[in-house]
Amino acid sequence: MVHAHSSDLYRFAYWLCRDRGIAEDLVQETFTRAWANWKDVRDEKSAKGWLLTILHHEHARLFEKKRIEISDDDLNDLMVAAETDVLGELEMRDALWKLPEGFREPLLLQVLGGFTCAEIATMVNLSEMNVMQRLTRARQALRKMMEPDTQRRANKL
Amino acid sequence: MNCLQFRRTKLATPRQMPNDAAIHALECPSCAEFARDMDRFESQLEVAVNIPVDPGLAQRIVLDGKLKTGRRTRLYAIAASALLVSALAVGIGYRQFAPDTRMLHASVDHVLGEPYAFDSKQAVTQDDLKLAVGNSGGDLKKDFANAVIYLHDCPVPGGVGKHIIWVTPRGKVTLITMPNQTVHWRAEGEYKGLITALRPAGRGSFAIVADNEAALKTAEAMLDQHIHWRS
Repeated sequence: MVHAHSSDLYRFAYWLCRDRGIAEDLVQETFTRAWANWKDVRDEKSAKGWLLTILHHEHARLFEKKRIEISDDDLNDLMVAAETDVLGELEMRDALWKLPEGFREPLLLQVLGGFTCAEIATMVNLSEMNVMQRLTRARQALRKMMEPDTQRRANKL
Repeated sequence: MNCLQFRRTKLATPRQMPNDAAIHALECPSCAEFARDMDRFESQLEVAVNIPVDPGLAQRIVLDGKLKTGRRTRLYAIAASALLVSALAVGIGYRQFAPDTRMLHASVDHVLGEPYAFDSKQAVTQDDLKLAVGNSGGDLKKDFANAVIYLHDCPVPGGVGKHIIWVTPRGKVTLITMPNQTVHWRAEGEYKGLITALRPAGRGSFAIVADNEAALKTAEAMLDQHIHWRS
């Protein structure tokens, strides 16, 4: 199980905290808790979702947040900021880091974990509609940030 | 499905489009183009999130889990100790004959394994740097924290060391400290397109990895100016 899932868990943790050391600690803590509660796993297929959910809670606990609070203002500020930012060679990675956590997390669960909106909703304790909205807005924000300056200027006209 | 529904669905669940979306895309060239653009975007996104993972991660987790698990802890600790002692014995024996190329190669592999580190813009303070240098038996003569863009603890030969990247006038250069690996003299080598110098530190050793000879020399000169290694 560790060999099968540790890489995806690590990537998910890394994109949440942006620190490799903390990411590894989170993954280790996740597996420690998983081993202690292995009986809760219904089947092998559900293990990945279960582990990612533990990691989500561990991360929230680490930063003393029961739930990630977000406001649309965060994303609006970001989209305005993108008007002036000159994005470098790793635009996508930078853009991902700039996404507010409440938008980035469902997106990572979908892209890294391959989960459906309903599954993500259960994992992060949101409604399915809310998850769909966040995924949509996250992609819109990323696309906006990824637009070449020339296209951005053209769109403004 | 209309254009608005199509685009909303494509933005939310690009890989799980319903059947009527495909029908709509056939009838609407504009949405079909949007879908192609989104597919390109998704490919980029997937590449971006899949950061490289240290191949030793799973092993460390397994070992950590075993060491934390109930009654078997002692047995595993004893087994791990025996393994460590054997490894050290073999390692010490090996080092009698092997040149320092093994450490040079390990440093280069470590750098190549973390390419994203070069894009870091971490704010490193003088205290962070002082602590990192002190960990290898060095004292900071002059601060150069403002040139440092990355500083993290990393697994290195012999234990945990510091992975530091800083910007020199000749480009970005990596310093990897190995507090538990002693070398007695300077060694230099080229491996996988990178040039590396291995030198003794106050405690253990350190490797400087650069992509060209000039950057390596500049980095070494900088370190000599800024750090005093205790003997």
